[in-house]
Amino acid sequence: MDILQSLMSGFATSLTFSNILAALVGAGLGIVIGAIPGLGSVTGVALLLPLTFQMDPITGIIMLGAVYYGCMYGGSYSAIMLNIPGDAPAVVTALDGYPLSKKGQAGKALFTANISSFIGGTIGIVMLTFMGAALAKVGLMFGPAEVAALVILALCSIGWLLGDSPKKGLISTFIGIMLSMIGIGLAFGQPRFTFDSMYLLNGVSFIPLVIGMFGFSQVLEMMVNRVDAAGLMTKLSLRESLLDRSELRRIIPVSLRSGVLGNLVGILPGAGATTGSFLAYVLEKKVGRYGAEMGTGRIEGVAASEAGNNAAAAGSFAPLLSLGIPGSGTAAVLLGGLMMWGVQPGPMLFQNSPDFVWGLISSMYLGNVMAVLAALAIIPFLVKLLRVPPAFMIPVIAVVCVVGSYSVNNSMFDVWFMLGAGVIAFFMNVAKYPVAPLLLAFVLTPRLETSLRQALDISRGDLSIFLGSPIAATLLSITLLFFLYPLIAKLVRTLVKKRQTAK
Amino acid sequence: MEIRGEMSVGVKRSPEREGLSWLPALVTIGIVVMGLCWAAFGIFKYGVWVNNGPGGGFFSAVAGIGAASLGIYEFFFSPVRAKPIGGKSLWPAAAMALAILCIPLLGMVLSMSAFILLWILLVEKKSWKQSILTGIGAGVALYLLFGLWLKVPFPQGLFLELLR
Repeated sequence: MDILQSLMSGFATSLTFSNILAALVGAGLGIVIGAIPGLGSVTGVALLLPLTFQMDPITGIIMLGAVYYGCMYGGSYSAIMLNIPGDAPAVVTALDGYPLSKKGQAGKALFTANISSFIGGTIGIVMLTFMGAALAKVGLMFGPAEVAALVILALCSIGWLLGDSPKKGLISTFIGIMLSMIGIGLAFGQPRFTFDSMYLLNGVSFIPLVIGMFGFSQVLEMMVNRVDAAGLMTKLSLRESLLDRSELRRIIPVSLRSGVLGNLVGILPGAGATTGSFLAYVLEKKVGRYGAEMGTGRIEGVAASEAGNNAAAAGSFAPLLSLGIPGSGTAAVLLGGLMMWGVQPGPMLFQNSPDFVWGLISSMYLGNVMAVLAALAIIPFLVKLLRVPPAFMIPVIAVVCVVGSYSVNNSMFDVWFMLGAGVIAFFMNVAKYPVAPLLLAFVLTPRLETSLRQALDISRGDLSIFLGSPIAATLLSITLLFFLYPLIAKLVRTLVKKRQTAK
Repeated sequence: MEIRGEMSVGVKRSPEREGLSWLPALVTIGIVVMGLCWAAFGIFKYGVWVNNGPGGGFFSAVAGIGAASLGIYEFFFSPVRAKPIGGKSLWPAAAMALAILCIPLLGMVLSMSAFILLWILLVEKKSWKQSILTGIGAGVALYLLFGLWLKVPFPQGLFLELLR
């Protein structure tokens, strides 16, 4: 009851004309920034942070919250329409979103992304409102061994995404692991595979890699499949883009499941929205009715990824507000903003600055609503954008790829790297090697390496640390079950068949 | 090399399958070489198991050995049919490489505008009017969005420096 009262007082503070306007402007800007390849929510919040210092702190944080949500919505747009994920979590959205676009259902994919983002975001904010402090404590139970076990589970789950040829998917995963080894290793501080290039000391930059492998390779692909692209343009209409009742019924349970899982992953320090969206997608692929068809253009795939991603984004606020530990890169930038306003996040925040903290939480509801309204309003324009013929799309997308990869670090090396990655990804596509497992392994491996090393440093090399922790043991058991599931299923089928023939 | 590739990918020569039909074999060979390099560096240079835990080369060794062995299997036992594509598909990469090489001279915005203009005019064979409008429109949008609003410090290029 106290919580509800506090939330209402938060709404009383935040629901003023200037705050609603700030939320709307923030959501619009966030969607634009999120949709630009190369600029994710971290950049969006960092860019607009200085602007908000002139504002009242509550208005400022409301605008930043809306920018954050807007970015999470916008990140999926370029993934769905152009196969260029705007940020890392949108890689998973592209798996089904772009195939839907190719089928002429980009509008449906965009509607699905927006609605499930809203559901996921709402689940995340509601859980933050009522269980923020408790959730943060659960997050703290995840030490290096538990995080390592979680990442092992996530990495092994890639196997379910591999499509037609598991061997090729596995090879792609190994390439992702190898690429992630480039640069100074976090565990040892030792430069690896840099070939004496100073550009590689910080490792391979993720955004140019993603833009090249998804976006530029798509430009090359469009040169080959011009007929398909032209066919797609004529099929699109706004009316066909709307979701009907049966489609809504299909995505709502998926969004609810994925939202809860994504939120739980989001509260883990360092796990982030990418792991959240990825695990939500894997869960749906395993338990969902249409799991087997995911990856070929199912709205369920888009819903799982987007709900997981947005719920994880909200989840990352729990450790930030309750413990002062940012759960994601964007939360870290927001932490800087809070400190500049003289607010110190941590266990005492709820007691010392209740107006501010409840204003912030209520602003997240406001930001989420504004972001979904702005996002739905923008869809007709996006659908029209897709009607641009390939003759104009090819050079424009190629330029967006170059500028997007340059703007990450203002480095020409990143531009050349993007170009090379694009050509290699195109060759891999020709040879039927899937690219998505490579990118997911690339994101997850550094986290695994650091956590594994830390866990074994703590136990002095004793592997039983993974069995001693109930959480790690459970996660590893699930991983083992994942591996053994096909064998067990086969065994059960054979036994049932034998029994039936015996009868 | 070509004969080997043809055998391993199982592609019969026909006019529509010419061009890049040897690519799958080449990609697989590249993966095997990369895997072997990563495994060798991981094992012999960075160390697989150091101070009671995985060394800097642990993951490189595991992934390298995995990629190389699966790659060898793919090469010999799992032939792939190449898509019927020609070298034309690489034109955007070649043209873009040229445009990027022009950036030190013309700057980012001018180079990218020129790329769009010339591509639409020469490759897509559209009219001068359409090409110029799209090229200039894209250049202005790039400048306004990235240069002015997001303050991305684009390379200005020698040409603009001389004009100043």
